[in-house]
Amino acid sequence: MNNTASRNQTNVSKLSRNDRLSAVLAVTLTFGAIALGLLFRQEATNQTWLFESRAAGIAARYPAGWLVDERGNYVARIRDPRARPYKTQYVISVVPVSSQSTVRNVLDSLTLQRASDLAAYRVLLVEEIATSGAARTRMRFAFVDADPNPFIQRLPVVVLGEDIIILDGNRAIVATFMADKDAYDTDHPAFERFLASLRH
Amino acid sequence: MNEVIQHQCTVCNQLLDAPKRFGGREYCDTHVHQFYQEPPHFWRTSVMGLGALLLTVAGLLIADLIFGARLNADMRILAGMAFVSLSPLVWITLYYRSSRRNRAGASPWPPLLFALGSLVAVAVTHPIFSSIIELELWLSRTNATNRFLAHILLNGFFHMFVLYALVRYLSWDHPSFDHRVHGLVLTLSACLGYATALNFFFIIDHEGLTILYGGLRLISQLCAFVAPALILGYFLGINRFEDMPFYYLSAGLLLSAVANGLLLYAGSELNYVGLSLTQTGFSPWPGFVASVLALVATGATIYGLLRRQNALARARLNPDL
Repeated sequence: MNNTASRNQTNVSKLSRNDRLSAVLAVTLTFGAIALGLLFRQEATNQTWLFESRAAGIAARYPAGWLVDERGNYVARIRDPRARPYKTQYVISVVPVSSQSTVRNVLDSLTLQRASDLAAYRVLLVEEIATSGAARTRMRFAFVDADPNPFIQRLPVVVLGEDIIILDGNRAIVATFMADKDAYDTDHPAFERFLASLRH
Repeated sequence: MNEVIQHQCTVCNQLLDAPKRFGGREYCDTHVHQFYQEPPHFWRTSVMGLGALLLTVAGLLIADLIFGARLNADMRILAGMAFVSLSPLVWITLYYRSSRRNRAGASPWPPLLFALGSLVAVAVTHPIFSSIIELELWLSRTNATNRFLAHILLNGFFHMFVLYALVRYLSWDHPSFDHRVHGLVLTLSACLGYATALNFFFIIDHEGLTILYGGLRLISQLCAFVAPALILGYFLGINRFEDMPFYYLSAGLLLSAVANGLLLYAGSELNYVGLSLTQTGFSPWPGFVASVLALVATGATIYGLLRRQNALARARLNPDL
């Protein structure tokens, strides 16, 4: 090879054009697939189904896959079937109010009822908020949920909740959100989207 | 001015005056007749690794009979780690020892890639999947269709790209990568370290698993990595010694990513067995059996394909034989 030193030498890279294109394509393909997967995950996380009660004149969009129960003394209770240990849930109920009633009356009634039904029930905060451009009242509360089933052994769970009171003529619509204290912050944005979609 | 094109051997980088050519690549006289040879110890140690895997299952059954549910969390974590690392350690040790016996100076890359694969799993994959994407949490809350797609798009592509990058960008140009079968060896080495570290995290995150059911789940996950790694290794091994079309490696990456996602999905989804029209039960065996069968079928297919490719290369380079 020494006799070629005086001449111009062209080093041929061992990487061919196909090798270089292949390296770019592999990276592009992987990042494309992962980006698609993340977009898909985002879409699936935010996917919603429509709940509609013609009797109560209320409609809202709730997270896909949650279960709707309309057999209690409420318009609907919508629960996440996969949540553990406490099932994150939204409850919509309607309370008749007279022209003299105030939001405070509705809140007091809820508090009295829950204080007798729920263990260690405490009201944490009551405040006026503006949601979707309308003035509403929010009450935050906490209680302890202990499963009464003696065959299920688990520790009692501290549940955090929130009521949104909407005065609507001669009725008050109460939208309630309840979740295990550890899941509360994670699940709250979905409840805000649920509230934003509420039509009455 | 004269221009002289320098030719280099694809394997040893030696400058050549009269290179031998095969499949668009250039070789020295030694390596042109070497890359299609088949060191028998790779397949022998792979069969022994599979045997160690089946012995692990027997060990799980015996340990479950002896200890049952009596182990505490710490012991369950230690037992899970011991069971799941047995087969990978047997394979890497046997391969390294036998390659040292078969030729002078065994390549340092298999144990190195095993260690690097573990490190990437610890430093990159686990933090991304558990803390940033929170994939397992989302998978546990979504439906089967979403789980299937997420396993392929997020798990499959990410894991296989890590293995591809480790082999393609670190060991591809090293002179010790001088046989096609080394594509399988290097990818498998990186894969075993990577999958074992991820399995360790799976055990720790769940605070220890039950001996039999948890152990079978871990072995299913290991198979879900090894079978696609063989596919990827085959494509890397072929492309290293032939100038294949630019989409060839990406096709291998795509195929292995789909296989990885599919096996990870099947390994857990098949375990939900129907007891009646309305009841579903759990058994770890269907997922385990499907994963092991997929591994054996993939291994046999790759073995056949590689032997055929090597026979064709031998015939083309030695037309007088």
